[in-house]
Amino acid sequence: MDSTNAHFEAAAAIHLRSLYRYCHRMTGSKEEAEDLAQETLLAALKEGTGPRAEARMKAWLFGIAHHKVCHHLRRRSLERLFQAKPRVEPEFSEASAVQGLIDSLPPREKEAFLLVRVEGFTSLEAAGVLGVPEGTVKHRVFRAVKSLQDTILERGIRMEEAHDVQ
Amino acid sequence: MFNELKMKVALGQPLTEMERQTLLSEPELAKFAERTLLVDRLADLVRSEPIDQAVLDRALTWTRQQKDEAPRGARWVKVGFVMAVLTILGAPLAALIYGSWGLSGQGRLIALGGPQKPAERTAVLVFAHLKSVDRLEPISCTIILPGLPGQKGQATGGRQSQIESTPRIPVKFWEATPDHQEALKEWSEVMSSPMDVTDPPLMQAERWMGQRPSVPIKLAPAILEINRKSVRLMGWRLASSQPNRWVIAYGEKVTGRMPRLEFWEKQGSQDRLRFRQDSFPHHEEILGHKIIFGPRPKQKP
Repeated sequence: MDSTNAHFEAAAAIHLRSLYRYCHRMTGSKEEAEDLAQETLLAALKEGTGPRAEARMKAWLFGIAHHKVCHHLRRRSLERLFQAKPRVEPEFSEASAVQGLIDSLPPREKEAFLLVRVEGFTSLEAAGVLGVPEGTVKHRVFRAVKSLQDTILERGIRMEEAHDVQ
Repeated sequence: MFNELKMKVALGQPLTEMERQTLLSEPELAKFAERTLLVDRLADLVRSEPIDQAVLDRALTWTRQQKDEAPRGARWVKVGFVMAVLTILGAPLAALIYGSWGLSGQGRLIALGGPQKPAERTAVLVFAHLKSVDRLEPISCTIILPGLPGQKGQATGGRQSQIESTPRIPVKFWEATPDHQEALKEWSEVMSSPMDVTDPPLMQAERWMGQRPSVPIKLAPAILEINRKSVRLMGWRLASSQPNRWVIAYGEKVTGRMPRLEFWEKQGSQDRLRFRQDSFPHHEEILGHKIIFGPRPKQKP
């Protein structure tokens, strides 16, 4: 194994959990998240020239994951449009209160919220991942937080309960 | 000022002492901050979500494997025989193709799948990848007409008015260079082999490989165009002890449906795609029949 691969695999092992979580929350499906995380790693591995600095490596991987997720969601929405019967997604259900809350957000706000509030990116780093200005990221996170506040109160969800459902 | 403060709270950024005081002194801001705690809790829950380590290990292992296997998958289009079936629905187009160009090698269709019949006239074009020009070239065309099984493939001439109102598609299957003829011969051999396209997919794979497939190897998900519709499907290489033949099944994990099967064969040093089956609903009426290219059956005077 050459040093590039060794470096990549070490970084992948560190960030894979976050990548998977991001993909899972964006798609609402563990199966799809696994595929997307794999595709992300494979694309990154083929690219082969990722940044060596830890923080930039994470942003770089998330940038790839973001493109994969966007592409996947676009295609999935098209597939569903053309499918006579809606696809059965056992994991994509009302049963998960947390996923339900995350899914209540529009996709752009969802991705900004997940990157900044869950994965700990700064708004500037998230802007790099999403390819939008920093102000846009801030605005999207703000709207996501506001929307989640309203939804949590409206649904009367207690976060402890949500954890049990998980 | 208030909006900036709200933004900082929403982004989870640290506040200065003065900002903290302002927050506490303004009921609206305080309410916003209090509610944001709920969102913080939600973020914590998502962050602490238990993830099966086996899933992550599997992803890493798969990535390593794929990196080694990727070159073979990437060159599949360039190597060997590629077949594509293009279905063109509509009587005017069928009339255009058949009526104006006068096919001499009309295909016979033998019904295998019962009494179903196509609802409309259908033109099936077969494409092969010709190495000499490095592109897909049409090598044959078949017209399917509505009718009883066994009577399909009988085309009538088109009318000029229909032809003029139809967009023309540059089909050049009459260009029968030696490469075209060779590809057509190969295609005919494949299609006249005793393979029943109405078999359940795995039985087909079993027949192709000579034994029941074992140890499916997961391949990279692929974006495939099936019946002019792009889909993303998982790929599995169905392995057997037979080293020269294998099947790649593309399917959906959720439904287990496999709308594409590829039948591969090793010939010398090359991997060749010998046959491909697409079975999205629009194709099923075609796949319910075995298509054999041969001399046109004699018609009664």
